[in-house]
Amino acid sequence: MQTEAAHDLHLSGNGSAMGGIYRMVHLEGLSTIDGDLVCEQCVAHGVVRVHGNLRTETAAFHGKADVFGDVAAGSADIHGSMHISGLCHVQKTLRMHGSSRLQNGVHAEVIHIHGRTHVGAGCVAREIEVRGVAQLTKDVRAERIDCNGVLRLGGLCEAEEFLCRGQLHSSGLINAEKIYIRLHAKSGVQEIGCTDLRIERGHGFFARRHKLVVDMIEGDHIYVENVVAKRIRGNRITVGHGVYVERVEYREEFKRQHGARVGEIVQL
Amino acid sequence: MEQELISKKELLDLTGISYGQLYRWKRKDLIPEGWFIRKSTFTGQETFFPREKILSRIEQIKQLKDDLSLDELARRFSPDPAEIALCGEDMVKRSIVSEQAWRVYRLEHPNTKVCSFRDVVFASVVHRALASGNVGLDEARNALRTLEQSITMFSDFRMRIACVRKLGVSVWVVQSADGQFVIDPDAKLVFDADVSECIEDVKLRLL
Repeated sequence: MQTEAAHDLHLSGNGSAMGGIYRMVHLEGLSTIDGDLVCEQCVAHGVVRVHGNLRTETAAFHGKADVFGDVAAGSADIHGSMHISGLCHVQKTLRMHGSSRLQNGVHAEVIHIHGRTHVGAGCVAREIEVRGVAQLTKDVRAERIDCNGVLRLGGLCEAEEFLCRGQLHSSGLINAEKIYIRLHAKSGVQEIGCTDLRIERGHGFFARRHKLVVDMIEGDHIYVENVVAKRIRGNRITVGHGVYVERVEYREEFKRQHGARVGEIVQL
Repeated sequence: MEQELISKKELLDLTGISYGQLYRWKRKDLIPEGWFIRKSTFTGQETFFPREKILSRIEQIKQLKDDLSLDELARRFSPDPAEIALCGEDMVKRSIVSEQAWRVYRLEHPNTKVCSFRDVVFASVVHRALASGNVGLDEARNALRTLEQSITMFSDFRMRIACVRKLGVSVWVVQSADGQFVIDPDAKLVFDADVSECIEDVKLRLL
């Protein structure tokens, strides 16, 4: 970035500035930037509106921020509420504490979602960590997805490792090497395809009510509890407590534990 | 275009692979998303594949997966261009093009010695057209010209090329990969090739 000769920008109180190339940008209070902003470091407290694209090495937002354009950052920390209308591209870590809306998708090395986040388009990352509520309305690709809380997926989800403790909703396929789900609330998934799958019920008095409703499960090694499924297909299948399956198709091994109801069992 | 389909279950039985492997290969883009065709049957939604394509692809993956990593394989299968440069003799030696096809290519580009990936793909299309036996030398040369002029219209070589002939006059048509066209019933579709398939073929021969 050509920011070596550039000046710093400080805005306090009710301020506005044109975009441009800066070294450090400090925004406090109610700030408005008109135009594209390029800087080395961007720190904002209070209410910020950027009418243009934002490009920075490190970004830290505290309070409320609206960016009506794309965001490209080396790393970004967001505390409070954030709204990005364009694409969000972060080279390293994107941390979001509070509630965020990323309308046009996100690319990052690591995404931490603490709080509530809505992503309106594709989501690509090496690692996605969710503590809270994440709504990813289109396709998701990651090596590892780790969710404690609520995960709502609107499209295809591909990962090497997929962990979810809490609630899971998906209207597409979840395709992962290894899937572990611990159910703490009613969940629903359309389709699961994997190598290893383990779905367990959570603890507590109402644990037996927390079912996962799924159309189809396909995998090599499958262990499920509290699942209501139309089809389960795989090599080695174990159905545990609270399972209701219409049809099981297995190749090598099928185990049914006490309290599981299975309609049809077929060995291929 | 009607093509023969194979169900997922039958595919696993025939090839002896497991669900895990199939999903892993899908994740790594070794099997394109478009080949997963969902259809409702009396047992609910089932997934089908184009029979010929998927069987040959899985055979290739099984053969190569011991020597190459899955990421490397994905790069080989993807229709994205590779970074290579070949001279004519090399292409003939690796049977990407025949002697005859190379001569046609040289007629069009007399000064070319080293070909970039794009040129190699075009030369291989010319070779395919000639090898089909239905396309003449001049027509093949026209195909090359058509391809070179139309390449900027399509992204990443996702296109098809076809030759239609009526009353001895032939016309080359380049269309997007999933596009359809209907021809005059008196005319004859002489040659039809998917450029991304040619790329896969070229990449396999480069191994």
